[in-house]
Amino acid sequence: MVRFAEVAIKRLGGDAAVTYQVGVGGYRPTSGDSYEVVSRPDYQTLLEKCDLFITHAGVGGIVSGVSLGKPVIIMPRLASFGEHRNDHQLATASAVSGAVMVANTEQELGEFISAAYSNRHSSAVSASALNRSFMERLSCYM
Amino acid sequence: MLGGRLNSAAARQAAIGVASSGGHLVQLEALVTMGLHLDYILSPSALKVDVQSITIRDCNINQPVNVLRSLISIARVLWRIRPAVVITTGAAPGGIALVVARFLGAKTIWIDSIANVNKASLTGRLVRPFATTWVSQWECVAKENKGVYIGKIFNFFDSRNSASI
Repeated sequence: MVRFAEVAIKRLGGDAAVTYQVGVGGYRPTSGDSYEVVSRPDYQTLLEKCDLFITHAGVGGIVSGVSLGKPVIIMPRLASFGEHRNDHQLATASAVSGAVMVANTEQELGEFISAAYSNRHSSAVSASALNRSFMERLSCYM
Repeated sequence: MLGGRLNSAAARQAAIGVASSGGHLVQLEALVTMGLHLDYILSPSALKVDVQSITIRDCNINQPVNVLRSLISIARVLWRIRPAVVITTGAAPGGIALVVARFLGAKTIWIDSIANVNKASLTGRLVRPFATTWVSQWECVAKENKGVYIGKIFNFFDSRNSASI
């Protein structure tokens, strides 16, 4: 996922400041800051400052990103890539798909990253998290 | 809705949003992103949406002196703009603005934060009589306060999980 994200972010060609947490012995991208493991306070600080959060489909990452109102892209770990024991992250991903962008392939990840980058000034929350029927019904009272 | 302008008859049409920092502002901004037209947003924080910002001090309903200070500064702003509509997602400064706006004859819309799952916020309950529309994002809370329930601003809050939020 780190390699895929690196490729997609390089393609933006812009000024995006990126911090990677790659895991012990994980691939270190050639651009941006990268750490094997970030301490929990540092992680929180980075998360609060970020404009886009990309993570696997772990519950901790999803909840912390969404509850801070950040746009979140998740890419479930798959057993077939040796990323996890089983495919439970697919179930997590489908349960939270209303709140986050779920990327299942490198191409989808790239598309979500470039969409988030071009919308970076437009919204405080990801569009997929908004319930448009609320606004429609509210307008009856305006 | 119509755009408002200061110092003109059109100013009477202005729509104003009010929100404290954090989740209150995130919810108000979400409404703007979904097409709510606001001429001004009164908030202690910088905005992420393209609406003219008026900075106000935050306050807490348990701090009478700060509430009074906020009341004076908010009343000044509203007196000048004479809005047609004030809409707020809380907290205390939103409640103050709502009461002042009601006295100025504006429509007043209170949207209780989605965080208030089982009971309406204290400010929300206090200003209930001054709200022309009072919305909770939780059906039971809306019913209890004779308000309206029109769903939730964010679609990832699932009623089935409400006990865990």
